[in-house]
Amino acid sequence: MNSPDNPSDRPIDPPTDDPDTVDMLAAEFVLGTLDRGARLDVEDRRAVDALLHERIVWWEHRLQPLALAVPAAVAPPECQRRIVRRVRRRAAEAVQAETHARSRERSDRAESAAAATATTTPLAEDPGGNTAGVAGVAAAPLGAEAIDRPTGARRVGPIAPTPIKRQVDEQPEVSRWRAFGIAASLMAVALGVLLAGGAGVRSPSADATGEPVVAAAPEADPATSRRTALSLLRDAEGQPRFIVEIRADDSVSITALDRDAASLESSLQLWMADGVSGEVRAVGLLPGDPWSSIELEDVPPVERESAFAVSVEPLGGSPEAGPTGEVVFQGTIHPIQNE
Amino acid sequence: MTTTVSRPAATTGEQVSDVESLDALLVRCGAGDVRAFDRLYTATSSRLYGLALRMLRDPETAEDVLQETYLRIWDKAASYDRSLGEPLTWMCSIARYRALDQLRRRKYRENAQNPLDEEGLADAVDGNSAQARTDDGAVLQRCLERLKPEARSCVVLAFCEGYSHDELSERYVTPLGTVKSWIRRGVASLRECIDELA
Repeated sequence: MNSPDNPSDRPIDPPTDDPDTVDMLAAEFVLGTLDRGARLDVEDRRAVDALLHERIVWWEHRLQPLALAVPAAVAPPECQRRIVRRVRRRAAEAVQAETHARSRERSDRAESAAAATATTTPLAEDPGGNTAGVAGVAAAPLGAEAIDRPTGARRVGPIAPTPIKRQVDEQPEVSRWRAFGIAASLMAVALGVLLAGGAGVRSPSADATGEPVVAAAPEADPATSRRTALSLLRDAEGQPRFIVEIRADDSVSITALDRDAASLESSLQLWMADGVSGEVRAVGLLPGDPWSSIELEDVPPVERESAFAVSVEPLGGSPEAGPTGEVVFQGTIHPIQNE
Repeated sequence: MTTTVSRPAATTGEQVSDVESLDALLVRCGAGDVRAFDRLYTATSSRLYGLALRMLRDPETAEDVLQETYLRIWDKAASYDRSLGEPLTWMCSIARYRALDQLRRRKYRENAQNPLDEEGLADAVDGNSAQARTDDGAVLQRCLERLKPEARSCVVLAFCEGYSHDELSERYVTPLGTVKSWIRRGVASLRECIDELA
């Protein structure tokens, strides 16, 4: 363990075979009396020195009662919100990274399989002797899968609503969609404030630069832009993150309320859930631009007690007909009685 | 001076049900479960924040350390196992080391003219000295009591308050080499005593 390149001014530089010296180094590391350079050195060395690591863990365990003797203190609530928000962001990024990796792997496999098929002697592979058909049949499914999966067609163009009643029996997540109506009264208060203020929603930017699924909101047409329903999507801490408006022409407009919410958007998918039947439909992906609105067409009919929710999904949207990731924002849909 | 230390069992994960242990929450965090992280934070943050606040004496910096600590816990949860120590011990160590980094990097010590001493710590801890011989807290308490006062003070101030050798030397108006000697003798005695009693 003795490190020849260790600076000579480091307080302790134990020989590998001296357990007492290693133990002393571990104890001083855990106590915290080493200077910063020596601490960093120990951190590096414990990764490759089993004895040092073992003694550090031993001292941490033995001195832990002192740590527990220090009075606890409650951190401010905003500290928890900030930390959880950052963890969510990391979780979403991890999902994206994993999806990218899988997509690349899948594409590579597809290309390899196609190449292998093209170079295979058909007669040796086909017991039926249909040499031309074998190559075509073998290559097509792999190619189709590579295109259909998250980095393929789902990333381009508005996501069509997908009736997925069959998902009710197949996905346990469906039960939670039915619970959205519980928070309706709280949502109504928040929406009342927003509606009364009129300008409570920040003006959207016209230059949406996020995923290609989003389109800039067009100029409002009084006849068709009449709002028929509203939903305020909140995160787990109850913080409002998005306003979702449904218009008379059945288009849906989504506006991000703050940049933190928007920073997650590229991997988030909006869903509409029927609070009664449990049916879930994909509505679209949230925009990457914090200040943009998106507009989606052909949304499902809105029922009272229906809800919107946003889940973390692989880039480009859920590979399934229903949500596959955690629901991070949700809100009840409130129909508006227009005169 | 009598330094009493509380039982780990009395304060470990008191807000986590028996069914949902800190181990289980860490496993779920390692799998990317943000809700489990939320529960883990709720169950442990007061302990970790208390430590950071004690060492740094500054709420804002302690919050920064708390954030760094939990992000590291999240990042490392997937690779956590018991060889790294018990969950709360592992988490407390991460918090302490982050706080030490802050102290060493910034040479940071708020209220240096009015430092808390080991007597203050002794007053603040849960005094339960009638514990079983094999209890970790009781063992440590008994072994600390066997140390010479100056060694005990240095160990407690270093571990709980983040004092460096230099700071201890300054605090006790004692040459640096003497302080280092106190600590090393104290550590050696502690190890010997713990091996004997544990």
